[in-house]
Amino acid sequence: MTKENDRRLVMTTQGLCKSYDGRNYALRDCQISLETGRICAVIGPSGSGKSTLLKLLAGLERPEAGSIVLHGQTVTDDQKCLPPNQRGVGMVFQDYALFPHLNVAANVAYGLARGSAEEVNRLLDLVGLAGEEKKYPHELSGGQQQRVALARTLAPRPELLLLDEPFSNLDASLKHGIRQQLRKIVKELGLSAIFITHDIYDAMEIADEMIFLEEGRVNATCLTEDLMKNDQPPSVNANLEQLRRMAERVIGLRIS
Amino acid sequence: MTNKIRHFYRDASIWSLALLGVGLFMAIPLLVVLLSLAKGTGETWAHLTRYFLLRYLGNSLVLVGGVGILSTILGVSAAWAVSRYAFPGRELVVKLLYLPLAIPTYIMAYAYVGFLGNGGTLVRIEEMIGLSPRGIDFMNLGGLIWVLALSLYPYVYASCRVAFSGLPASLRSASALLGASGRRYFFTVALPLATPAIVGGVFLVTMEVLNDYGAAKYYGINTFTTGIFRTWTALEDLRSATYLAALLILFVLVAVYLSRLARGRRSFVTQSVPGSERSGRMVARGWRRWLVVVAVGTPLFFGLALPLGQLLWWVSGEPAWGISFSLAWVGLQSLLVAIAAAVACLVLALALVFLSRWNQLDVLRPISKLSVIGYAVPGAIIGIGTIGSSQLIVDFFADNYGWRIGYLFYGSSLVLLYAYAFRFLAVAYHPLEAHCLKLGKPLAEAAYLLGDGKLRALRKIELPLLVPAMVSSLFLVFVDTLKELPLTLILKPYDLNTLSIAAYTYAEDEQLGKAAPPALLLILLVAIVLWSISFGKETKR
Repeated sequence: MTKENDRRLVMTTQGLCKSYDGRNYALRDCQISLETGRICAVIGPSGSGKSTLLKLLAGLERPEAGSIVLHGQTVTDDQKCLPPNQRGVGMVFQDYALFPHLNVAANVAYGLARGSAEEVNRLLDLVGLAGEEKKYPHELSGGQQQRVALARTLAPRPELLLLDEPFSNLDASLKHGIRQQLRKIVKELGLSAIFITHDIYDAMEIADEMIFLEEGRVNATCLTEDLMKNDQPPSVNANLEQLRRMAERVIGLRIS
Repeated sequence: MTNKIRHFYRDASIWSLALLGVGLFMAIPLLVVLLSLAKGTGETWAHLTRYFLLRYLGNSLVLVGGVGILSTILGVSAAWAVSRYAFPGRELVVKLLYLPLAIPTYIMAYAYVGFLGNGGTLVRIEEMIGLSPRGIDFMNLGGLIWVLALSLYPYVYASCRVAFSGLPASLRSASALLGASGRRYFFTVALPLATPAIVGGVFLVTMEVLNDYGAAKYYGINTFTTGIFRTWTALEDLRSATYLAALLILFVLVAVYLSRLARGRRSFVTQSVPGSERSGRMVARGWRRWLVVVAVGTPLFFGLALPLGQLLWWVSGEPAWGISFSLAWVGLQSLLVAIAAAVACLVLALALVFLSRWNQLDVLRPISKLSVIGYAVPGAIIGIGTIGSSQLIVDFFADNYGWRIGYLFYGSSLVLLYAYAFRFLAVAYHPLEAHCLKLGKPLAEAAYLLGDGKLRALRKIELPLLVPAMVSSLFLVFVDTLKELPLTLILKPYDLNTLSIAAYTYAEDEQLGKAAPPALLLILLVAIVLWSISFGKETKR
C-alpha cells in the first residue's frame, strides 16, 4: 500500500480478534479499511460481532490480537491501547447514552471547552433542535434524543464517527427523514462514518459501502451502488449473486 | 515475549495497582488468621478439643438449623400473607414486619428473660390476676433459637417479599386454569420460584447466628463464637482462639457452598413480557383469614410488641436514666462512630466498584468479590485478625525504628473503624454495584469518547447518578454498625461507650432496667432508618 493510500485511509484493521470468555471469538481475523469521507455500513445478525468491532475501534474493548490504525496512527496493537479520549473518534450509542441529569445544552456542551454556547447553538441548529436547549433527555421524543446524541458526538469534531444501530429505536415513520439528515450532515462536515445495522434499507440509503459480518468473520464487502445494480458484479470480493443470497439469509430480505 | 505477557504490560494500569492495594488492605485480617495457624496450637488446645469442641460444634449446628427453619417459617408465611391477601392496615403491617430487625439479638434476649424469667413481668401479671406465679426457664438452646429467629426472620421476609410480589399474574391464572388449588399453586409454583430468595435470606440469617455473641453469652450457650472469645479473653490463649476461628471459617465456607448448591441449574427467572401484570391480592375469607392473622400476628407480637413492651416497662421504672445527660452522650458517640463507619465503607466500596471496572487485567477480577467476604466472617475472627495485624505493625515500627505507635491503634477508634469497614463493606458494596450495573457502561463510555478521563467522568457523570445508591449504602452500614456488639466490645478504645455497649454492660451486670433506655434509643434510631429505607422500597413497588 502506498503512502498516498495510507493518508487517504481514516481507519485500517489487521487481524483483529476478540474473545470475551477466552474460548469463543466474537470477532476473528478482521481486516477492513475505510477511506476519508466515506460512510460504511456494517451489517449482520445479532451476535455477529458488529458491536464488538465498533467498541474495539473506539477503544472501549481490547483485542486479543491484531492492530487498529486511525488517521495514520497505530492506536491498538499487542503493546499499546490508546484510551478512547485520545483516538479522535465519536460514537452515537444504540440507546443514545444521554446524561439524564444534564439538559440538552449541557449534554451537547459536554465535550466542548468552556464558553461554547455559540457552538452548542450551531450544533442544535444543524440537527434541527434549536429552542430545545433547556429540556432534559426524558422530555424528548426518541428521534429528538437521537439528534441530541448526534450533536453531542459532533461537538468535539471527531474525524471518524461511529454509530451503533442508530435507527433501531425509531419509528419507521421517522427513520427516512433522519437517515437523509444524517447522511447530509456527515457529508457536509467531511467526516467519515461507520455505522452498524441489521436493516438493509438503512445501509442502502446512507452508506457508500457495506461490510457483511457473520459469526465474527467478514464475509463480504461491497459498494452500495453495485448492490443496487442488477447487471454489474460487485467491485470487491464477492459476486453479486452470493451477496444477494447472504443478504437474504442474514437479514431476511429479498433485494430486487 | 509471548502474547500474554505483552498483553499484561499493555493492560496493566495504575487502576489495576490501586485495586490490588485495596484488595490486600481488606485481606489483612484473614491473612493474619490463616498465617498464624502455622505457629501451631496454644497450650489449652488439647483441653478445648477434649471437653468443648464437640459442644461448640453441636450447639452451633443446632442453632443454625433451628433458627434457619423457624425464621424461614416466620418469614415466608408473613411475606406470602402480605403479598397474596388484602386486609385493613396491610400497608402498615408490611412495613412493621421489617422492624424486628431493628432490635439487636442480645436486646431481644434480655427482653424475653425479663418477661418470662423468675420475677419477670409474666410472674407479676400472674400474681396480679391471682394465678400461682411460675416463671418459664427460657435461658436454654430452645429459648435462644426462638429469640434469634424472631430477631432475624426479616432477612427471609424481605427477600421473599420481593420474590412473591414479582410473580406475574399470568402464572396464577395458568395454574388455576390447569385445575390447581391455591394451596397447590403456593407449594408447586410460588414457593419453588422463591427458593433463591429463601436461600439468600437464610444464608444471611446463618451468618448472623454464627456471629451472635451477646445473646448466646447471656443465655450461657457455648457456641463457636462465644468459645473463641472465652479462649481468647478468659483463657488468654490467642493461638487456640485462632484455631477455633479457622474452624469457624470452614463452617462459613460450607454454608456458602451449600447456598450455591441449593440454587443448582434450575431457572428461577419468571418469563414475562414488559408491562405484564403483577399478581393481584385477594380478600382472605373463612379459615384463610385466621391463617393470615397468625402469619402476620405471630412475628409482630412476639418479635416486636412483646420485647418493646418489656423495654418500655423497664424504662417506666427508671425515669432518671431515661432522660439523663449520659444517655444522650452515649447516643452521640454511637451516632458518630456509625457515621464514620458508614462513610469509610462507602469510600472503600466506591473505590472497589470503580477500580474493578477500570482494571483490565483478568487476573485481578476476583478481588472485588473477595474483598466483600467480610460480611460472612464472624466478628470474633475479624477481632482476632485485626488485633493480630495491628500488633504486627506496632511491633514492626517498635523493632525497626523504635517508634511507639501503639496508642495510634489502641487509644483511638482507628482499629475499630477498620474492623467495621472489613465486616460491613459488602453492605455498602452491593447496592452500589447493583445500581452501577443498572446504569450500564455506555454513559461513562460516552463521556470518555467526549474527551473525559476516568476520574472526570466519575465526578461529572457517574457519581451524580449514583447518589440514591450511595444514600442506601450509608444508611445500611449505619444501621449495622449501631447494632454491632462483639467487634465493638473487643476493639473499642477505653473511653468510647456506645448504645450497644451500654445495653450489654448493664445486662451482664443483671441491671436489665438500666439496659433498657440505651436499648430503646438504639432501636429507635435503627427503626427510623429502616422505616425510611423500607418506605422507599415499598413506594417503588
